[in-house]
Amino acid sequence: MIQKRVVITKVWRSELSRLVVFFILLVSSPILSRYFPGSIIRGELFSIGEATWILSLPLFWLLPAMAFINVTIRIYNVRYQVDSQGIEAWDGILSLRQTITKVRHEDIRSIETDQSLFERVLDTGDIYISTAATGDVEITFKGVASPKKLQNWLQIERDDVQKKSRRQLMLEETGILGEQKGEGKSEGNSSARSVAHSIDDQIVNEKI
Amino acid sequence: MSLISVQNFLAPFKNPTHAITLILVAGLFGAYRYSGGSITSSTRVNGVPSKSHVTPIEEDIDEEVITSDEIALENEKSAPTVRKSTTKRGVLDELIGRGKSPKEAPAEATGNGLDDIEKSLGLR
Repeated sequence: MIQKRVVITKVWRSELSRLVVFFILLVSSPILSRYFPGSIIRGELFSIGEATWILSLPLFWLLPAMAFINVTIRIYNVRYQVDSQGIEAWDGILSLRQTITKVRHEDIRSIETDQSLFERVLDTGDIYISTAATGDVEITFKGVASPKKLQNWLQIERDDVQKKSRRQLMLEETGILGEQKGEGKSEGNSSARSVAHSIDDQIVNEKI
Repeated sequence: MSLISVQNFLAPFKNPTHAITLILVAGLFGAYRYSGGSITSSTRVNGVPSKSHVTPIEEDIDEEVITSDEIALENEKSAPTVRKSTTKRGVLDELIGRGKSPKEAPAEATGNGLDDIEKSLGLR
């Protein structure tokens, strides 16, 4: 069981095509500015007393700047958290509209990964988490690193939580049954303990 | 833990995502400077901008020094007044009349001019 909150972010290599475009524009902007010096605009920004601040802005530089903003928004706009309670997905952190989706570990039905050939080479990909409540995918982890490891870890986490909750439920049921039969409190507790042990053995056997 | 701690300064570099972001921002700034972008401040003294206001093109002109041969050639071709400036910018200032005192220039011009006219008319 995880005790702390684990934050999973999107990795830069998942946006490789956009990064390539950014680097091409980054290299070409000084070259184009040299060929077209008229593209460098110059003007006063503001004045404070006798001092005047003047800006020289190469217009071709705006191309890599825009590409960088585009990639950065895609990276920092999403955030995924996994804690002992469940999984949380934040979408639209830098946008006007933000969507937060929470799914408890007990409710997770399936965890799927999706990787293209190129993503397999770079060890990135998407993870789809669907719940029993809806048929559709509830949460999508987009462009995360090592998706298969993450999938296994989430599945183990889900299994642990589900077994724990099942154990708790069975203990409660046994306690209630014991009380209903008119047995003593100590007898009820001892029978609950024996059931708990049997469940633990079952869990160990499943793991093996 | 105190707010000013080494850990806080190192934290962005420990996370690879943030570290790559910082590298990309540095690259973008490098491209901005290499493309000719800048932010400069200049102070105006009596409405006249100081040296820092000079445009890069003007700076290039200042750096180019004219050789003595070029000055001699220019002197032969043009007016009898000898130019003292050795830079293109100084020559430009003289042509505009920025460097000279306003009284000096017309006196020379009127004297030489009259002599030339009198000679051409055959009065002398």
